[in-house]
Amino acid sequence: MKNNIKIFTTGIFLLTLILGFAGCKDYLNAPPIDAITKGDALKDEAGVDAVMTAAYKKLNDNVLGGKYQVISELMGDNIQGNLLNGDFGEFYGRKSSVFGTYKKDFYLDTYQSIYRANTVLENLNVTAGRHDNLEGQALFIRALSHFISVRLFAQPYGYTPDNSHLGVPLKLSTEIKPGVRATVKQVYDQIIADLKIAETKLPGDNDGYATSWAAKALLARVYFSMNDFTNAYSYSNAVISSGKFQFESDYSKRFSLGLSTEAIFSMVNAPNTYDAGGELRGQFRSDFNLPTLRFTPATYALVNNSSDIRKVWFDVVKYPGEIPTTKYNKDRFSVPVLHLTEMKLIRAESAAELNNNLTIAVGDINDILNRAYAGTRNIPANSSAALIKTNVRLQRSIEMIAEGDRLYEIKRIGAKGENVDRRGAVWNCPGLVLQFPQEEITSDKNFIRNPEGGCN
Amino acid sequence: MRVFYLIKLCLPVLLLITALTANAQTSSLAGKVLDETGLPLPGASIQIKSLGRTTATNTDGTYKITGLNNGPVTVTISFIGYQTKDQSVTINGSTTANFDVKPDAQGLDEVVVVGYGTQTRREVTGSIAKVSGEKIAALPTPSFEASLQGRAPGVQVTTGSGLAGSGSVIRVRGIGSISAGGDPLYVVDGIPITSDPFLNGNRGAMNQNPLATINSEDIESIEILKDAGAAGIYGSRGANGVILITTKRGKSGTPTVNFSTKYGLSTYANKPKFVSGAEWLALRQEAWINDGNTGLATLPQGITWAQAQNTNTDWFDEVTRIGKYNEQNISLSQGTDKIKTYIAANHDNNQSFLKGNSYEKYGFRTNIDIKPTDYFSTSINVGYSQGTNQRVSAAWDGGIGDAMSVALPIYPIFNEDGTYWKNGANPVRTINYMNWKSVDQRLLAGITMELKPFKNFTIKGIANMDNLQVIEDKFSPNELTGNQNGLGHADRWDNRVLNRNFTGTANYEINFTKKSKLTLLAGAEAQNFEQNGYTSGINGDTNGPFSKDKGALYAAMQTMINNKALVYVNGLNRTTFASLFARANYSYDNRYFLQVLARRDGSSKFGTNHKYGFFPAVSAAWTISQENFLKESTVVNNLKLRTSYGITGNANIPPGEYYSKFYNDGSYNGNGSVRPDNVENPDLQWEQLKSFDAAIEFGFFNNRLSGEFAYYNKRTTKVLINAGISPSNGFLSAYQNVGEILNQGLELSLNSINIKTKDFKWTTNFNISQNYNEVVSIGTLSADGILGATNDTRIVIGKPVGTNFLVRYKGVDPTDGLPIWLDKDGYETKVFSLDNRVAVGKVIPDFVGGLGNTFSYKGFELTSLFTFAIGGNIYDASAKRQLGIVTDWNIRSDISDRWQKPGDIAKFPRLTMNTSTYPGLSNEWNYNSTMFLYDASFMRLRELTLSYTLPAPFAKKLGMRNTRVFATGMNLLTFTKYPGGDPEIARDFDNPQDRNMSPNISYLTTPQQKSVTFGLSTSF
Repeated sequence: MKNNIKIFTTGIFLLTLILGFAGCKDYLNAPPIDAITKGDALKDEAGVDAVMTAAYKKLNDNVLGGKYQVISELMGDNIQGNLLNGDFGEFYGRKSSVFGTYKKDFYLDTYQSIYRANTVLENLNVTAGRHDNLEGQALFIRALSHFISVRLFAQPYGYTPDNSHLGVPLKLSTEIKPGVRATVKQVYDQIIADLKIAETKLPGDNDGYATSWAAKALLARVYFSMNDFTNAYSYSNAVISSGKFQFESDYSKRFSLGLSTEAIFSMVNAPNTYDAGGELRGQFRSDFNLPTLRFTPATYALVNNSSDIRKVWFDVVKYPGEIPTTKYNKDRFSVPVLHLTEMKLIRAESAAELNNNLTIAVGDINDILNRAYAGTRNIPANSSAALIKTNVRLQRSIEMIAEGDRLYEIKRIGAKGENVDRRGAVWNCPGLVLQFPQEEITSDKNFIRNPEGGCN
Repeated sequence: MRVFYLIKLCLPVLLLITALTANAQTSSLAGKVLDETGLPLPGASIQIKSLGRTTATNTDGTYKITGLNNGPVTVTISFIGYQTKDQSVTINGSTTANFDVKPDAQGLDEVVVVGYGTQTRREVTGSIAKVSGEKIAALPTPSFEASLQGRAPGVQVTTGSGLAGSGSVIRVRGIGSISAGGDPLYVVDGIPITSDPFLNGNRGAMNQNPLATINSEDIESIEILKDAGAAGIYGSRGANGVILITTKRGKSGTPTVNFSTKYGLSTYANKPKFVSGAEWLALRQEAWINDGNTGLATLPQGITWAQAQNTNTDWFDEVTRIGKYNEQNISLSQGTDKIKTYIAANHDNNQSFLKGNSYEKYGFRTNIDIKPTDYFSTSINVGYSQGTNQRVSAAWDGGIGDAMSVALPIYPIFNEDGTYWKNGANPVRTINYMNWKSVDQRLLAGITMELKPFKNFTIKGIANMDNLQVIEDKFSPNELTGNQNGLGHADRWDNRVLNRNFTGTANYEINFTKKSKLTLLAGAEAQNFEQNGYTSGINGDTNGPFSKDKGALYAAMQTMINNKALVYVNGLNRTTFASLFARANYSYDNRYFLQVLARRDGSSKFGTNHKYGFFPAVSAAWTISQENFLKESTVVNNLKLRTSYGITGNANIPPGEYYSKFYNDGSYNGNGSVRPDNVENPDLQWEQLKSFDAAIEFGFFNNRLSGEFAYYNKRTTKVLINAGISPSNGFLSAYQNVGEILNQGLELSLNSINIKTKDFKWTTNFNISQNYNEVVSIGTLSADGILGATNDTRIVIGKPVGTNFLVRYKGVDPTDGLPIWLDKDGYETKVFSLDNRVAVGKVIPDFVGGLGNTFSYKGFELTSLFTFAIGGNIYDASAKRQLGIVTDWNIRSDISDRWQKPGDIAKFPRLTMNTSTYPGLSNEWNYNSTMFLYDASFMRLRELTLSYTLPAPFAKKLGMRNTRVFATGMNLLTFTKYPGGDPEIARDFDNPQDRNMSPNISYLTTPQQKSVTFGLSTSF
């Protein structure tokens, strides 16, 4: 019997031990170890910095690493897309619908980068020495993302005289709420306001992150898209005159690992650990397989003459009958998002539009012509504004091939009253605007979606 | 055969006493146990309870207990499926006693594992289906759980694909969850094991199946707990049902070695029919001309017409082969009163019908039971297995998926110079170069200590662990990557899952009178789950796979470290879980049974607002046949009513959703990146299931006809739904408790002994279950906002979970060949619009079941099992491209029924290469219509086995006992109206929500295997 009691006590002891374990509250406060709580993640400057870095990363992953360029090119008029199908066929056909993972991820991640930027802005109080730098970066990324979104998901600036037409949801905080579309004017006003603060807060050099020059260059692009040539000239001129960026004599360097001297803002490639521009290679690269995206003969015709060095941007030999680009035929490169060539193009066209500073405009265009035609072609120093404009627009359509620029030129010039789409569409047809993803539409009954329909 | 007659003649001889003088404790009892036909019954238990002596009969039915005193004793003879018999024997020296036992068709004394204990079938008040290990091992399925198909009512098993090691989707009494996992809880010998099919996501279009490591030959039985009365003891993990797997243990008696071996061949059960190269070109040309073009149609990927006309590659044929299967098992079972052991080793290699795909498994198991004293016992279980899965791409990832989609018959495998053609999809090239394998290692181990300080009182302490390590290595050589540096690219994903479980229970049995008994169980349990591994993965440019080149692995890791890109996490997805539970069972006179149980679970998955959940259940049973008015009935042998009501739960969601999480996210620009992960919901809580069950169990005509008829009603509230966030917030979804779902159904199972003569026996097992499923509420969420991934299934109020949400297709306008649709209101329209999508079909069948027949004649036995599903729909998402717009996809041959000229009455509209031809269609992928919705009803001959058991004397000459040779055919016949291939579909899923909402959606899904296996099992 004594023995029995001993066994009994041992048993009860063991049971109590397990019971104690089970009843212990701390035992159940065990969040996943790899997850960091918001408080820990944002407890100091380094933490905020890491979230800022994540905003860039998101932009490269699903936006500027290629999706933005791919969607824009497909909706433009450079691509030979009649055999494309799926999401690409839909973009190319300019008849986007509520579905499509490619677009959904693109939309979501553009806003996720904004969420990250807003997270940084809401936690600047823990930062110290880098307060202004981080604030500037966050505002820059927020502006860039809103700009990307509004140009694809809404009719362009100038579609209505007061720009009261619907834009995209403006996200200025991390508060979770249903998306409500702001007007295009509100979106543009916010973008400019953000960039103007960023311009003052950011340093001139920033180790691969956004700089004050990047903010200025983006302002130049934003104003240019608004056909506000005075400001476009002023900001592009500021960037060019800074002397921080050198005009490349060699084309191949713009997309390179060693960072092009023209790059004002890039998606940075870190060898072996982080590849920028994956989607650009995935859809355009042509030295190994025939890529999905190829160009029209009309696009190729722009460079198909004996003197244009840029002819090498296309490989018409390897795949007979197909015209893929060679611009992205590298294992690794940084993606220049804003570069000096674009600034020169903006400054020259703005000058021509303003009919002012024409000498500078001629200089810009001749820099580009000299490089393109190895000095065999340029325009006279006393060229008229009209001649400058014609030349700039042509050179722009060549220089920016496969960089996703053409769609916005069709829209910008369209808003000025001129249809330039080589596929014959009217600049403001509904199909040139992307439909919002289903998830945005279903999350709120009052959400107003874009009208659908083709363009031709 | 004569020997059997002789034994039969001896049948009436039950007791033979040889009067010989004998000294104390030197007497013995020996003899034979015979079944109802007079054949020896091996493995039967012989017990002298008063002396605590137990043994088991040998393979020839003999037994012997030595060291007995002379005098009268009561001997208890028991065996699964037979009525337990108590018989008095007077020991006098070397006593011989033979016993005959009668089968117990109803199995009232059958031991049923119920979770934290066992009960006899008689005592069970919940709904429990039991499947013997023998039935599980009978089929060479990719993983053991697939063998449950058609075996138990209310258990719907949709076998995964023919990919080696692939898993199945199992639904117990319908589906009551949306975003939380809807799979049952799997418990092996008391260990709630890791069965998450999403450990490796959906890499390569296959959900890695952790259950594939479990060896079906080790399984003694599987119990499926279906209602709250049974599964309630598992509380918050019981809502989807619980599958209890019990492994084999050592048995008393002389050591027995069992050996079995199987060899098999396999191919695909069904294959969609595609057009040939020439036909494809003709269809393309027809579309081209229809579109108003002239000349020859353009061809994809730079192929010229001349090349195309000279090529006719059968890609399906190129990526498949005759699969081979072989399996060897050896086990040793031995036991004395004090120690019993079961030691087993197994090897099997399933080389599937897909070229390059196999699952090879080695397993080892030791189960030991030690009982040194009458107040202490312990058992130790150790099971180790290693499964190596040679992977191939499938579905959307390539391989056989390419063969059914973008690998066109006009594409060559090789260029003229003998190199691989690579301008378009070439799955042969990929399979040839890709080196991809996943190695699973699993250690399932547990120790149980049991103390019995007083009579009828036991205390148990159990410590268990389930360690699962999955290392996946994928290597694409330079031939595939084309990197300018001349190197290939290697990836490694390394995932270790550590699952610890501690349980303590106390059990007390109070016998008030001889007739009334109360059994009390109280327990506590703690579980700790975590994963360790490199969340960043490890990758780098190398010359070979990391598994073969450790140097390259370390170099790649170093590079990643230098760039802050390598992330190792100790404690990934950590979840802690702690519970208290109690169960009381009262029985009176073997007639009335009452069970009350409750469990309180606490989980780290929830915040302080809802950390604990309470899950009670009550159940009762009334054995009417034990009442006086039926006791003597010759017609009714068993009649039992039972019912239960209770609350169970489900919390099968990722941890940490209740607060705002941030994660390390590799690096950018050489600096570490930390990303926000989710939208927090501090009020997140348990999904709750209130279920009611009522059933009648019966046995008539000497138990020649027996069965069970059951009704259940399950209402899930606070359904966890991961949705509803506007993407302009930067997130798509957050977990919320908003929905309500109803499942209601009927189950019938019938077992009959149709013919029984001395030599011939025919038995039938039939079961059918019906389930009605309805979404009652989704709160303020929108139907179109809850998606079954890419599968065009939605959650619609008033419709079942996983409703096909499509535009209705009316047919072709004979005048112009264009499609006619129905708009939302049912009016005809020729403009396609996604706004006209409505609920038109469902992924869940109305009825599922199985019909088994066994014919035995002397040593021969023929077993068949037909399984079936009636009702429900299959939606073929790949048909959008195979039968829709003519693109660079393969075209199925049922396109022959299409419009070609005015006046044609056809199923499919005029061919076109341009989506704009069909007004309103923006994209081939948006062709979401009933054009591709099919009737999912099917029946298949799941199993056909012919076996022959060698006559004992003959076997003995060969030095063997119980030798059986057999041939098994699996999926030999399939009856279906579905033209797109296999009608049983569990595609690769993106997440649990997809898995809940989209079974029976096909997207280039690999067909099931059809196989023939030959085998031999013996013991000596």
